[in-house]
Amino acid sequence: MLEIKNLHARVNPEEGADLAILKGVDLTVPAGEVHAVMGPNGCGKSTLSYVLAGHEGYETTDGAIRFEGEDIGELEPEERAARGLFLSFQYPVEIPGVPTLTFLKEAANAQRRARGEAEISAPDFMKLARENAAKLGISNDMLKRPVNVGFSGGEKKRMEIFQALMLAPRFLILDETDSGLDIDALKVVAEGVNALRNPERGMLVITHYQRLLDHLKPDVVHVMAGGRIVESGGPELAHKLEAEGYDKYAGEAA
Amino acid sequence: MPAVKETIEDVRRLEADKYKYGFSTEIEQEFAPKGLNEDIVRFISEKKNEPEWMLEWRLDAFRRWLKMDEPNWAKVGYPPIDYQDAYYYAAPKDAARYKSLDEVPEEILETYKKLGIPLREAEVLLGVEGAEDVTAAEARERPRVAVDAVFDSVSVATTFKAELEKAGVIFMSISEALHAHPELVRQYLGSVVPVTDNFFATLNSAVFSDGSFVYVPPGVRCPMELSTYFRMNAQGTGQFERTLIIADKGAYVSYLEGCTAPMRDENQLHAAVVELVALDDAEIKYSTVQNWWPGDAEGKGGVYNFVTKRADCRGRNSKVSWTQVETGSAITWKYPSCVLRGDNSQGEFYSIAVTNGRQQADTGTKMIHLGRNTRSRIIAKGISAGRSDQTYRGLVSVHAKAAGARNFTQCDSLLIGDQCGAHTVPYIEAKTPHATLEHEATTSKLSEDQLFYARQRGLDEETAVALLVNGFCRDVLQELPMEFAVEAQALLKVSLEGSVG
Amino acid sequence: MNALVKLSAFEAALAEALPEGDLRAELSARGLPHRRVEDWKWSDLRTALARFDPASPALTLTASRSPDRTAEPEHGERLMARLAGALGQGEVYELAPGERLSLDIRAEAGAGHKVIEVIVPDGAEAALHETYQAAPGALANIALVIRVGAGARLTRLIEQDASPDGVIVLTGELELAQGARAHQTTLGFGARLARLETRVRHAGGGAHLTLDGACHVGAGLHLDQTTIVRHEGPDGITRELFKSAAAPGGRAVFQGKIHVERPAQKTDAQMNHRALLLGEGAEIDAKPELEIYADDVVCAHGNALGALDAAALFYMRQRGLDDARARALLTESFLMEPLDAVADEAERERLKARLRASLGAVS
Repeated sequence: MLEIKNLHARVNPEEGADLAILKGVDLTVPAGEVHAVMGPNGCGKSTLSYVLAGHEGYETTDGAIRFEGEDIGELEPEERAARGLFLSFQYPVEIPGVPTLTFLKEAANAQRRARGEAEISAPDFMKLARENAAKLGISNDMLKRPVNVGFSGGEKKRMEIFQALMLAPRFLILDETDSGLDIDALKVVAEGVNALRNPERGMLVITHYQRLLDHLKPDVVHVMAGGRIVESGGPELAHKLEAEGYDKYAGEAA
Repeated sequence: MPAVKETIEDVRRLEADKYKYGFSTEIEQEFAPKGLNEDIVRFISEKKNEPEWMLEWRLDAFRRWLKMDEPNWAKVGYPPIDYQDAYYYAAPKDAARYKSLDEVPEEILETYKKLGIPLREAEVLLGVEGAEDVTAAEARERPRVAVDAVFDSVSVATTFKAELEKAGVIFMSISEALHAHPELVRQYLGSVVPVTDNFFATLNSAVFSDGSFVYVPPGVRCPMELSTYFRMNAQGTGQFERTLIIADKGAYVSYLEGCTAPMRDENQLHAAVVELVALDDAEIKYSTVQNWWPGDAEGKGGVYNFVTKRADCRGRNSKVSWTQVETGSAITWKYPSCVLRGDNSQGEFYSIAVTNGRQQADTGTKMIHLGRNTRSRIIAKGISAGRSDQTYRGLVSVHAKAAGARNFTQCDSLLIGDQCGAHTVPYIEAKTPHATLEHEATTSKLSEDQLFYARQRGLDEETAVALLVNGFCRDVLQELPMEFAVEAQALLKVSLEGSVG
Repeated sequence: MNALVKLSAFEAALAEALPEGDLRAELSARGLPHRRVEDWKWSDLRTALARFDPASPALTLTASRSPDRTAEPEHGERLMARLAGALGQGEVYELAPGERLSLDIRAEAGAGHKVIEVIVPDGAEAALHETYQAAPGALANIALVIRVGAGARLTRLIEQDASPDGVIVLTGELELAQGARAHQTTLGFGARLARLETRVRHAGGGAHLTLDGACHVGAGLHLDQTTIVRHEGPDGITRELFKSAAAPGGRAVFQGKIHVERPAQKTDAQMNHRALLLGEGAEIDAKPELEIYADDVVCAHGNALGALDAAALFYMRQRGLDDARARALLTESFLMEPLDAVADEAERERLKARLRASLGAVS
């Protein structure tokens, strides 16, 4: 479903120093599977999520990103979104003055139009919002607030998963979704993500720790270091990393 | 708020033509000769069949104007205006004799149709095409709006007259009011903006062509929103409207003013005066969407908009609220103000100003606190894009006797691109220890992070910009009457097209 | 162009003293700054000086050491600074690393003018301490140009003593080179008219400027603190905190302008002014201004005017303080904030004691 081949990327020189961050990432996530990417700070995990989503701050210098057989490497962020790629941000952005539901309805219908589908009606959208909010314990009051404004770190992550439920993407990238969550919130978020699992949908879970993976039970765990995938294995790999740390990959950074 | 969806759809319609109001109507005009002198002033007065005192008033203003200097303190630059190289009067022929809408020439009605003002309809200005998603709006009764349309200089049609008359509300062109209610006009005209107030107001006093007159009698809540669409049409004509609104004791009126102007290559001068008088316990809400032709991307053409708007909160507990959405004009010079004379009176100013291309705007407000326990609130949102320059200029002045006065001011500027300017120039004066004045201002740019986030969720760049700008302006947009909010949001997007990327 | 003004006797005498040339022509045509001149809206210098006599000036400068040079220092472009340059003597001080220079300026009579240039060499750290006073009927017109070199640090302290019936005009121009740091603190008490103007250029990028000020303006006095900060290079930081209190019959003016030019991207500028009116007849005027031409900047200003918090006053009185004491304490705590940033403890305590004494004496 998602195929990343020999992906090289660097910070766009306009944004800072000319720094290569991804140095040949190879990764394939078939439909229906959940893959985790773990790695030490600074290994390029978050860059990978930005590059997949098409952030202009990064330049792809080599390699390809194929999504359902299509090369999406040159597409605009919204075109990738319309194809079903959803990024749950590590630091969800606050957008003052724009109510969450207004924003989501705009987004849902923009995606639908781009795919040639009928737009969702206001009553259907509201009904769906109420159902999904209930699943995540999100109050009506939270929905009325502007996008992410005034939310705690944990609430923002919950709202990201709520947005995923609303937009029903084909593929989710969860970037450090567990950071800033206490144990109860982690459980709620994990349940939300698990509810999104189905045979047609793929997921890439980027995380530093294995605690979210205890709830999500990934099919494959990859270790990223020095801008590359250096090891892949089953869920047991995550436990090994938790016990042994990332020290043994330190040499890969070169 | 469902309006955002409507906005997007509205905007899509508007996108087809960046300035859809840029057309001109072929219609015969009657001009005064070019130039400005006492004979022109007499010509205008005579054309309108005015009483002698009115002519004297105009002549007095004209003579004073000759001795005045054009103000130069605003942060706007333009070539010198040749006041002798313009027409000061243009009326559609036979304009004064319309008895009903049926007599109005088809071209004029067509113009209004293109502007989205279906005069023939009872519910005017509502239900902008394609607005299906108005569950909330449909639930409530559609407010009705009476229109006094100004086509260049003469008011061509007035709707809803009968119903307003029943309520005792007087709503007519000011020329008409001079004949029908001379005592009211004489009592209040120039009582808020004196003849010698400033260069442009004095010019207006000498040559004002037409405008609206509203009087709401004591205790009457005006049964509908009153609206005027100003529109300049004839090439090289200045537009000098004069509006006078009086809310007598305990009265309420909401007045909407919308402006669009046809596309022109040469600059057009616009110097309006609006006077509001609120007596004891009266309230006036005055909303404007200003979309005069801003000139092209190189700064050619466009309207020079020098406007004097002032409200006198004369009575106790009176309240005046100005709301403006300014997207048009090459030059804007405009400071809708409140003189808070009555004890416990309140003034509000809510403003969105957008400049793009080579537009220059110097706009803000003045809140003059004279009475006790007077309150004022200023929320100004400025968006600068392209190579434009925008200045918020505001005065909050609290006099020694205004114990208990309070003001809150918030000015936020948003810059889009690195070739524009955004400036804030507030003047704050306090002469009593029993006052509290707070002022905050911020300047920021459109956030790349917000843009990326919105695009990751599937919105294209222009829609994302419009959404973010609407969010930035939300505090002001929600002060606008529903039908104006929709138009305003559409205008915001159209005005900012091409400003990103 | 403005029409010619009728000169006051003071202005005529001042013009008479000037050599033929542009400056004399300009002064003769426009007179001194007055309330119709935008930058002097709330400080009518022309009126304040109208009855003064500029003849037989007596201005003394007591410095902690002798100047390095006395010839033709820089004085900047402003009218009052040019007058100081044309009519007063000049001195130049090049500060040694670690030096603390003090300048005590007193106008005893007539119109006294002086131009001073202070240079802080690249990488040096130095301090400048100025005191200003004007006797009744005397004008002190001082132009100061301060250059802070690349990576240099300057701590500047300005004390303006209460000068009833005297007039003080200080035009300070600071130029900050790449990576320079400057921290200026003003403590002022007002005069018949006192104008303390600070103009700063972030000429190089990455400079860090702090402008702080506290003032307590007594009855019949006036104090105008004007700051104009120009960011010309990128990555500059400006922090301003001004607190003013005006006693009954006193007038405090704050004009602050932050100007960010197009190349000055990533500028971070914050300006704050808070003021208290201590009784009937007090007046506060403020104009906090932003002029921004670069988009990737964070600029903000806040301004708040008002009276002491009634709830806090009541609370203190309920605990047993009398009204006057409670007011003095609250005013003191309000005004002290800018002084808290003075790094030298002894200096800080001395300044606070001065402020405390003034509050006890006047309010």
